[in-house]
Amino acid sequence: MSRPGLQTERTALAWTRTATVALVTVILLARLGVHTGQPVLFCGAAAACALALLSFWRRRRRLDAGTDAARARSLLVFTGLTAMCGALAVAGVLAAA
Amino acid sequence: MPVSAARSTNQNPPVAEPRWQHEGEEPDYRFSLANERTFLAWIRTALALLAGAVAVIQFLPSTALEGLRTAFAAVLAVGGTMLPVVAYRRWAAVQRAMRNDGPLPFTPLLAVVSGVVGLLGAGLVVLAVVS
Repeated sequence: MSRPGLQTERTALAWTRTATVALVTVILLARLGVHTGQPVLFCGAAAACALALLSFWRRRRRLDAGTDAARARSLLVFTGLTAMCGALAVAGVLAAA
Repeated sequence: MPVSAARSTNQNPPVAEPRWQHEGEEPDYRFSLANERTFLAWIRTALALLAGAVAVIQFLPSTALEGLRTAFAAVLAVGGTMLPVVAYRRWAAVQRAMRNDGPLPFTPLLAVVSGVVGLLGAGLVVLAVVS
């Protein structure tokens, strides 16, 4: 007796949480950008925004995919975008100092 | 198998699928999904470190020790940049081990992240009191 629906739902919820945290990151980076006037921070906020959208899209794909394992390629793209967000935040933090 | 290989070369995807995705057997979906959730938990940790970097810049007073404040924020932000990469490598290593029915790889990641965050926390308390 397996209930794959719950497993899939938990994982979809993890994607939703990730999207929410990405949205918080958008707000914080944009706020620091407004305070310091560093354009690189707005680039970071834009990257975080793209990350939030991608998370919501992956959430939907997760529900469609059911119990299939995640593809390495999609997680790799997601990883790249998160790291880009981080790199822009590093540049912004150093520029804001 | 040859058909799908030919199709994937024809399509020429921007990011190639790693070869281990065809090794061994598909693991129990519950373990695959748990691995995916663990990956996402690390991603959220990375984003939290970025948020911490911004908070350090914005909410610590800049009266004294400004260089130190920047250093703290930079360490947090660099951590937030490296952690997603480590998280992906960890996810891939675990997925691969499960496909080949091998032992899960050991990771020093938890110890390293705990140590760094603990040290930063202690340093920030000192910095907040001093400045």
